[in-house]
Amino acid sequence: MASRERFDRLLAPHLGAAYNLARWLLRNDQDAEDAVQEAALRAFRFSDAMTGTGARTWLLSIVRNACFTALGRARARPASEEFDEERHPGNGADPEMQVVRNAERKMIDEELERLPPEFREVVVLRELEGLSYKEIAGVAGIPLGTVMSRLSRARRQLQKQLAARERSGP
Amino acid sequence: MTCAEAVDLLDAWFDDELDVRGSVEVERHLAGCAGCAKQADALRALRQGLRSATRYAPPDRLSRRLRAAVAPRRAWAAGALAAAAAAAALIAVLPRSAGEPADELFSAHARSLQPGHLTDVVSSDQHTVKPWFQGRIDYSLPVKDLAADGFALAGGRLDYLDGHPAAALVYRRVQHVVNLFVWPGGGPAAQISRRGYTALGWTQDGMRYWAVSDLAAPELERFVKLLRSQ
Repeated sequence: MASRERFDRLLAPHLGAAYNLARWLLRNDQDAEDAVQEAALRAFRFSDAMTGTGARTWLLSIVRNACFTALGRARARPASEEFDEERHPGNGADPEMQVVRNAERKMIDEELERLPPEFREVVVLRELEGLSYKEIAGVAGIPLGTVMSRLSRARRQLQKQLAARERSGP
Repeated sequence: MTCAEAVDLLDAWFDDELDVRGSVEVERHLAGCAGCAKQADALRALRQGLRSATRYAPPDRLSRRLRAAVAPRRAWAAGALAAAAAAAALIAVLPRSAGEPADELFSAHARSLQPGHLTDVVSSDQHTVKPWFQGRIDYSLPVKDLAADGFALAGGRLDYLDGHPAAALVYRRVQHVVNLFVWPGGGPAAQISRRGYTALGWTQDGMRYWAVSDLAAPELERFVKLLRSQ
């Protein structure tokens, strides 16, 4: 099969999921784009005998590893570890966007971003991408039981954050 | 079922990941426990809220750039039309590899190292591993344990190489993994190295063998020697 055809069949259908995961983990458009590009090319190099069903899990696992490596590098540079307001326009930078984007979305996005990356990862994979526990285990490289407990803890924390926010008003 | 047990299973139940018996037990508990039922409602509310979370879409240029990057390099040297013709000709002329599927060996090895892909049958006992393959492959597979020599049998799986199902036996040497691919066939003794991985191929009793690992080549050769001498 020609390279492009193989790419279109195996990887292209999952670029959306890959980008969404990377964007949520890295919280930045450019970093997410770079991570997905690098990961997709790496996935493609080893795609010879890959089948359609495993392709999503496989691509996502390479993407998430690239993201966590990047996050580890960022952690080593203390300055960029802080939540960077400048990387998040939309918080007042564009009033028109504010109007279009409803208050609930803003709230849920901000609280989801505040979760630790390991928690954010499982919530995004389960709730935004609809992956099964088994698929999440494959992507994150963790046992099934850990998927269950991590997802549960992530949801509890997100609920807590959202409740605290509602109490303190918008 | 107690509240503590129900809460432990609540997320899995909510995500449809419990077996029928588990679901029934959780649901029975929820029907009689207002506190836990409230937690289930909170999960539903959270999911409802998360529906409005942003799902970021990749920019169009990402897909365009990737498609360009995966196209054969030769396509960029010549004009688009000439390249298409050349590519078609190449495909027509190159015979389907009946010999050594080198790329496939290395990618099968890389794939096996992904979480959950290494073994379908997990056992260090050759008398467990060998029967597992019966009915899955149509040839008899010699399975040898080399634990005494430092290569512990870890299990096996069915893989797919060069268009045929192939048995893959997995051995471990400290933290290194050796994949031993076996299928009926022939070919000369061969050694291929690529990106820190080594593959050694040989034929014995009408079977084609390939051992692939990130072990140093001399160490992998020792493994092969041990296998062949048994």
